[in-house]
This record gives sequence, structure tokens and C-alpha cells, in this order.
Amino acid sequence: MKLAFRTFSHETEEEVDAAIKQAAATITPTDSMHWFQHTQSLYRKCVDLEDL
Amino acid sequence: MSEEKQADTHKRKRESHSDDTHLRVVLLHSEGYSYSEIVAATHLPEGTVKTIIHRSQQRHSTHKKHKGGNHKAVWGDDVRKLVCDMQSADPAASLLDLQHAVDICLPVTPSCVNTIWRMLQTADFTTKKLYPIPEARNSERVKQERKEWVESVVDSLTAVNTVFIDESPFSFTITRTRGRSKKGVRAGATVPAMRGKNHTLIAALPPAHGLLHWSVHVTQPSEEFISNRKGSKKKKTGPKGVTRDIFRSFILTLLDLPLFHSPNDSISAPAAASSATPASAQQFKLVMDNARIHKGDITDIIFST
Repeated sequence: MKLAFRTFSHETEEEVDAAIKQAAATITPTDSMHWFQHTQSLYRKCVDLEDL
Repeated sequence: MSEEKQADTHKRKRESHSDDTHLRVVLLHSEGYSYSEIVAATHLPEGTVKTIIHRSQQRHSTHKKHKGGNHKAVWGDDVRKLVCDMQSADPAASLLDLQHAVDICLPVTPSCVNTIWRMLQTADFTTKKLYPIPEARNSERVKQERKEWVESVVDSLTAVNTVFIDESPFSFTITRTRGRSKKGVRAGATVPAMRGKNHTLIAALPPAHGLLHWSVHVTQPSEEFISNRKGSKKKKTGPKGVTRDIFRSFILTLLDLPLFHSPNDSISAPAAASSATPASAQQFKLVMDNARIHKGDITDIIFST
């Protein structure tokens, strides 16, 4: 669960670390590519001096 | 009562003629045809022809009077378009703002806020939580700088050779601000009594490889009590979040990873980027924002490494 660290409260630092590791594992190369392509789609707006 | 008598007393159905027939009658009359000639051409009763002509002269229109059925839209497409355009341009505009805009911009009496709300619903507008946009993000200077940056690097940034690096603070004690409960029942959420420490996450993310490297730092408060006495004053201390030293060590650890030394042994790229040629160590481009901790000797370290 990507947002598990927000859904559950964590008492100890170990639990926090585990929650972060769990969230980090959900970030896949496919997600990264999706957001990279989204970023590339904004370049045209930048060149056209549009607001972001 | 006999069937014949029933037929006589039955109310005769009123015959209706189309707008095209009305227009034809009026055009014939305007061209100088007499009533009898129009009757012969249209096969309408003479009384009907006279009535159509008389009404068209009274109303200056050949269309029939609207009777029953669905009501016509009171507010035209121009009002609807203005409302939708205004809301698209400014998501923070309230219904009263839109009503005021219609009053100023168009020569019509503005509709009530309920009607404006319905126009927005029909156009697929929904209420959302606004996210803050820093004012400087879209200033003319920043937009010009952004354009120059994109024009200078856009051709050289690919999914294989780009590594995005950034840091972001997180709080583990935040609670949700929206929830559901039955009508008349308050919706509450349990919150921690003490505020927890913030955590700052630094991450390096090449699009072709996913999350490559990350580290977490506990943010220390930037104030401390002068003495242990109750009610003691606080004093400002140095920055205790992600400092340049922490960022420098993160960069050094990152650049030690195998990806930056032997691209052929690196992590396998996803299908979307697998066709691209692997980048050599010299071809990687690290993209980060203009935070102060990213400047200074960081650039020298990157190139020397």
C-alpha cells in the first residue's frame, strides 16, 4: 500500500522505517516512466511561456 | 346517446401547422399574392392564412408561440460559456464571483447561484481541494528562465540518461481532513497528542530504473530552550533538516552505485526504455531544483567524482 504510512500511526522509528521501505517498493519503473512522460509533455508549455 | 350524436359533440382536434408553412404563407403575402392565391398554393383555410399573416405582423416572427412541453433555456450559451471559461481560468472563483462576472460582462440579468452551480455540474466541474501554487512559479522572469532551460536541455534529456534528485519533508502524524459519517453525526478522527518529528526523504529517480537510491533524515527542530527552567525562552539554532553536508554525502553515495560506473551491469530497464541505448557514466544528467543546498561545492563534487 503506497500510502500505508499515512493511514496507520507508527509508534517507533523501526515502524516508520518499515513503512517508508514499503512505500518505496511501490514506486516502479513504470510509474517513473509515466511521470517522466508527463514532465516532457510540460516542456511545450514552458516554451510557449504558459503558466504551470 | 347515439354514436352519431357523440361524434357531433366530440371536441374537434385543433390542427397545427409547421413553422415552414407559416414562413411560406408570410413570404407569399410579402411578395404581393392575394389571400385566395395563397389559399390555392398552400391548401390552407382562408381564415388560417389571415391569422398567420396577422400574427406575424404583430410578433415580427413567423415561429409559432411556444406551448407546453419542456421550458426553453432561459440563459443562453453565451452565459454558460462565460461561466465555464471563468471557472476554468480561476478554480478559486466562487459562484457569487461568477454571478458578478455575468452581471458585468453580459447585457442580461444574472442568473441565481443555483443555476450557475447547475451549469457547472452539467459541464463536468466538481469541487476539489485547492492546491497552493507559489506566486513566483508563474512570474514573467521565471517563465522566461524556464523556457531557456527547456530549450537548452530538452533534446539531451532521455529516460535512460536522466536522474531526478530532490528532497521532501514528511510528517507521520498527519491525519486525514475529510471523512464520512451519517447525517447528524460528527465525523471525528483520532489525532496524536504529541507532534512527531518530521522526516525528510532524499531520492534519486532515473525514469528508466525507478527509485534508484533514497535516504531518510529526521528533521531536528531549529529552536531549543536556553535553559531547563520552566518557561525558558527559546533560541534559534542552525538548520537541522537536510543540510549541504547531508546532501553531499547522499550524492557521493549515489555516484558510487554500479549504474554510474558500469552501465552494462546496471539494473534492467523497463520495456518502455529498453530500446534506448544505455548511457555511459559521462552521459548521465542529474536534474535538481535551485535549492541552496544544491549549490556551492556540489557541482564540483559531481564532476570530480
